[in-house]
Amino acid sequence: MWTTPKTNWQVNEIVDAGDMNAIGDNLVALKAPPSAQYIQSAADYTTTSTSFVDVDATNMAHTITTTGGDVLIGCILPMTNSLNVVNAYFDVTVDGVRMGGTDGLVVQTVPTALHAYVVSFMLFKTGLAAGSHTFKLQWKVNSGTGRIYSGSSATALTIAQFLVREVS
Amino acid sequence: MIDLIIARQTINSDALDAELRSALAEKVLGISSNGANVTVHLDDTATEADLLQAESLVIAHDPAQLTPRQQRIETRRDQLDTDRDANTVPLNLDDYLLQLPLIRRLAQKIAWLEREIRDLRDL
Repeated sequence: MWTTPKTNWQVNEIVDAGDMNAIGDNLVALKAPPSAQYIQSAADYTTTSTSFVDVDATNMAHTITTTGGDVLIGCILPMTNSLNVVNAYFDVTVDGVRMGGTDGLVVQTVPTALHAYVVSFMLFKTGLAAGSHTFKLQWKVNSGTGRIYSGSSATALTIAQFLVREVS
Repeated sequence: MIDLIIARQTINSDALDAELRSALAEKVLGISSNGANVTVHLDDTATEADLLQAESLVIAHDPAQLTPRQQRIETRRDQLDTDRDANTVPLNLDDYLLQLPLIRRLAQKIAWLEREIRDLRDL
């Protein structure tokens, strides 16, 4: 548990057990900040949705209890589409509200259906009050079937990852 | 948005999406899958009858049934495989030695293009 550090020490002030424990607790909190990640390698995700939908409402969704700091959000998504020259759009919801605009945070044009493309992005969510917050990865396409490779590859190298971590 | 979740492992996403849109038109926003379930995304105007129809379409869906576009792609691939099998030996320019200069020049061009394609395909 993070405690706001005491910064008004006075000359000759006695350090007690509570002060030392607060410092110790803060070191523990810094070593293991609120974070969550999920790596999908068991089955691909697909969508034909032209409106933003959860990639995986259970696993690509993280709830962490923050201490009021910024949260780093990141994902790595090998993907393609069944059609050539179409777009896939990605966004993240925080407590049910999408961070991006009409077309989300990131757009990836898939030039050909034959090749996979890696969508990856990181961003800070600032201004969050201390407390429990839920982050969900969302996506949509403008045509065809978008596919996030996360299990279909024989090489088992294609995984999808979504993580959040309080960093300040 | 209404999400209708149905246990279904294997689908032909393009085909099922087309089936649903054909039946329910603009009430269908799309479908998603994760290898275990199919989620049909419907707009808020979808009725109980629409949900039942969507569910029955997902259950009855045959992933082996291709869309017209998928059929065209498969036909094109089959034709290409056939053509490749029939053209495994590179063009022999000696066969054109007695032809007119223009034909010989054309054969040289085709032989060059063959080599370029083999290089691109790492053959």
